[in-house]
Amino acid sequence: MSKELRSNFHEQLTEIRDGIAQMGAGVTELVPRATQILLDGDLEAAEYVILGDNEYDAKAVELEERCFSVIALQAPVASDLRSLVSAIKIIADIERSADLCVNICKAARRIYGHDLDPSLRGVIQKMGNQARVLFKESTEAYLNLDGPRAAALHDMDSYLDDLQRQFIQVIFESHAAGTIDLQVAVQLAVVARFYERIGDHAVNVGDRVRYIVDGWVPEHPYAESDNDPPEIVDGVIVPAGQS
Amino acid sequence: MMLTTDHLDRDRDRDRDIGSDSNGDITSGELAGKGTFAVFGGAVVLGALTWLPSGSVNWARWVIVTILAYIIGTYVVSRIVESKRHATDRLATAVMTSSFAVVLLPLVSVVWTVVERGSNRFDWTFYSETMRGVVGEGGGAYHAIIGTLIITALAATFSVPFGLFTAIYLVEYGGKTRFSKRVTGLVDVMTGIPSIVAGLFAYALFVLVDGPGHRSGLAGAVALTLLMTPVVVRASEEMLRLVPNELREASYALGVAKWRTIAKIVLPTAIAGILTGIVLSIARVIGETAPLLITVGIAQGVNYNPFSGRMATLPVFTYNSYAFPTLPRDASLDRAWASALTLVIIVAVLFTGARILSSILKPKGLK
Amino acid sequence: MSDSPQATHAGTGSAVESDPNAPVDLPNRIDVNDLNIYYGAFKAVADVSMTINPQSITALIGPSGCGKSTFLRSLNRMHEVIDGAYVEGSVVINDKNLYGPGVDPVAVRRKIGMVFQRPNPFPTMSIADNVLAGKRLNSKRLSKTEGAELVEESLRGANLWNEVKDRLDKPGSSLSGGQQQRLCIARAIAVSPDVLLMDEPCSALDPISTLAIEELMLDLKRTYNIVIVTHNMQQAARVSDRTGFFTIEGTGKPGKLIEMATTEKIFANPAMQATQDYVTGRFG
Repeated sequence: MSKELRSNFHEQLTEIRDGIAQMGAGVTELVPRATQILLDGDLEAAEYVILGDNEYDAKAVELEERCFSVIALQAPVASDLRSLVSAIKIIADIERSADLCVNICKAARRIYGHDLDPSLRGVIQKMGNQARVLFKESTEAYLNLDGPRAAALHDMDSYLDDLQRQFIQVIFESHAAGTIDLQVAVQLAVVARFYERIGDHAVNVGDRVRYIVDGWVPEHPYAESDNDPPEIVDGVIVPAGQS
Repeated sequence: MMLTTDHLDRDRDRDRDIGSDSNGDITSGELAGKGTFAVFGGAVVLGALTWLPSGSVNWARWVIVTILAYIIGTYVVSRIVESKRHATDRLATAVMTSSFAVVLLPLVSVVWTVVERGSNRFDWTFYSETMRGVVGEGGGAYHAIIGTLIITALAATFSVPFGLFTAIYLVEYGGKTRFSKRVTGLVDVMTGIPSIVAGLFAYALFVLVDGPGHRSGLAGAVALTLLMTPVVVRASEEMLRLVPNELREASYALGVAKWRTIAKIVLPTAIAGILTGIVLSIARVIGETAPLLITVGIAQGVNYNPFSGRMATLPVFTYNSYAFPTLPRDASLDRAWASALTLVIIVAVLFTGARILSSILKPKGLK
Repeated sequence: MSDSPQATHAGTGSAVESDPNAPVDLPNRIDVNDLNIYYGAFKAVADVSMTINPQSITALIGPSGCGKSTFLRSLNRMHEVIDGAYVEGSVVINDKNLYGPGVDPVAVRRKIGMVFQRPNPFPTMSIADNVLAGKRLNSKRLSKTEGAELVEESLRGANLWNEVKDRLDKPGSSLSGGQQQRLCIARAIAVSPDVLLMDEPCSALDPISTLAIEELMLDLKRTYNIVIVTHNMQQAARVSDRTGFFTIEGTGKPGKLIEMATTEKIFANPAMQATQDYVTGRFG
């Protein structure tokens, strides 16, 4: 038989995959933009991004419905089924990451008018870069169904987690030195959380990619929890694990 | 010795009863091909013993005793060597083989006799000369052969269209109507008409038209048609019914009219079987003597005109040569046997031709 | 284009949705109105009304004996080969009622072709002759070149040309099951029908041949209006644009159309409980 079978079905799968990759690429660009907005205090750009989130939500809903339709009508099995089930979860991860970028912009609005000292700016820039790289890698791993590349995301995320801890430390120091007030400090701490969550979503995408490729399932998901709160040792607040 | 061990010994002996199925043993002995041959040989010898003392061969007694001995012998020997089930199986096989042999023997005997006796006059004279002016030796059956061919061909030209179209009506158009059921019933009755009745009917019909004493090949052909048509109808009907309905549906779905579907699709698909049916019907009538006696009579010379006058035909010629022999009697008898042989040859040729034509025309896809 | 999607038949408990995106202006749309199909005194199918859109695939599904095959055959008057079959109601295509007075059923079947469940190439004919059978049996004269062109065009249209182009004079029955069915499709499209009806075309075929025929159907729908009856729900889901669900209340009762809508709606969120029960396999 010279002709490909079920070409209609395969076209639909390709369209979904491309749609997701497009969304992923969009968020990969959104992360540095949000970082810049935060560092520059650009209110107008922040508005733009916040309003633009509707588009991402709509796209996510459309892609999800397409996945449902293909599952209902084409009865996929094996790797096709894994791709479609994973696609639905990946769409959620990407859409959530877009929301997190919006949240960064909202935080930028809240700290408007307050200057950030260079050490803070430095760590923010690094976190922004690392988050962007993580997201880029996860999107490309999905597009190419590259298992090893997806597996590498875990280590990259560990670095981001380290950066987050470092950032918290710098926030404490800045606040103690009086360069930023409490409100700004709290906002920045929350922003740190946002970046860290973006990294986690990227790792989730990577795990889904590994599931699509060969059905790999994590044995103890998130056993090493990086989410412990900072501790108080000798009257000093330190990040978790450093006591 | 304790009583208990005694009864153990008895059980062990019981187990050694080979050939019995009761202990559930799954293996048994085997009666090989040589064994069956030996039984057969023994039966033949036993049969021979029934006539050997008298010195002259008594075929009937020999065959009967051989068959009975073989059947009984196979069962007994198999029962001993193999198991009861095997024995019953072999008994059934033996009975069936013997029945087949019993049926085959007369056929072989007839063919052998006809060939043997008929070959006395298997010469060119026989096939090229008539009986005109012949009162003793010599002469031939050329006129009878011509007569048979003409009359049978005429009968076929009448009965094949009648029969085929009737069958087409019954299968394609009639369906389950009461009329077609009656037609089928009538055809069934017609298959049983005694040939003399068909002959009388044809004779009476022509007498109405032509006056008493009418003799013609045409009348004979009409009588044979009556006998042939039901066979053609039956065979054609069977073959047409065998054509799968899906073929007709496929044709209708292409927008082809019904009669075209029948002519171009159904008939070509069934043609192999229909041809065989036609040949069968010819074979049935080619040897009918009684109707031809009444309607056609016998002639000494050739008559090429089927519409008037007596003609000679092979079956009537055979009867005549036997019943009203010339002198010497043996010459007539030889001619009778040779004419019978000719009939057998014609039928054999017809059947072979039909098979060849069948395999040429048969569509490759049909089972 | 109508804006209201729902047209429920009051009192009969069915939901027939018209498709607001249907290309209604194209020819070969079939409008069925209140069709009742009888075999003698027995009513086999009751009160069916539907629109079958051109250049699309419409699937008819339902449990055994629910009348979907009978309905399909009534679209090209094939059910009339059984004595005593007749209909009430109308089937209109290109402004002509197929059951109008003076309409010749044989002519209808030239415009509306049919492919059957078991492949049935004519056994006495070669592959090329099978393809041309429709034209030849209707005593259309074809020159040798015309014939050869038509054979190639039809076999290409049925995705069979490459596999048989070297053995066009071999008997039709020398092909495998899937190839024979494609030959029957080529034979059907050689007479240039407007509509192609398919009665469980893949039931007798293995899964790969089935998928090959489905692929072919997606090609063919660009030219023909295709209606397919299938037992295989997944096939209906894969291949059709709109689906109609037939069912029967009990033995001896007539079959009815319960729901007709886009395939996606039928398999993702059907309006009628009966449809939902059938497609999820809770009854059948």
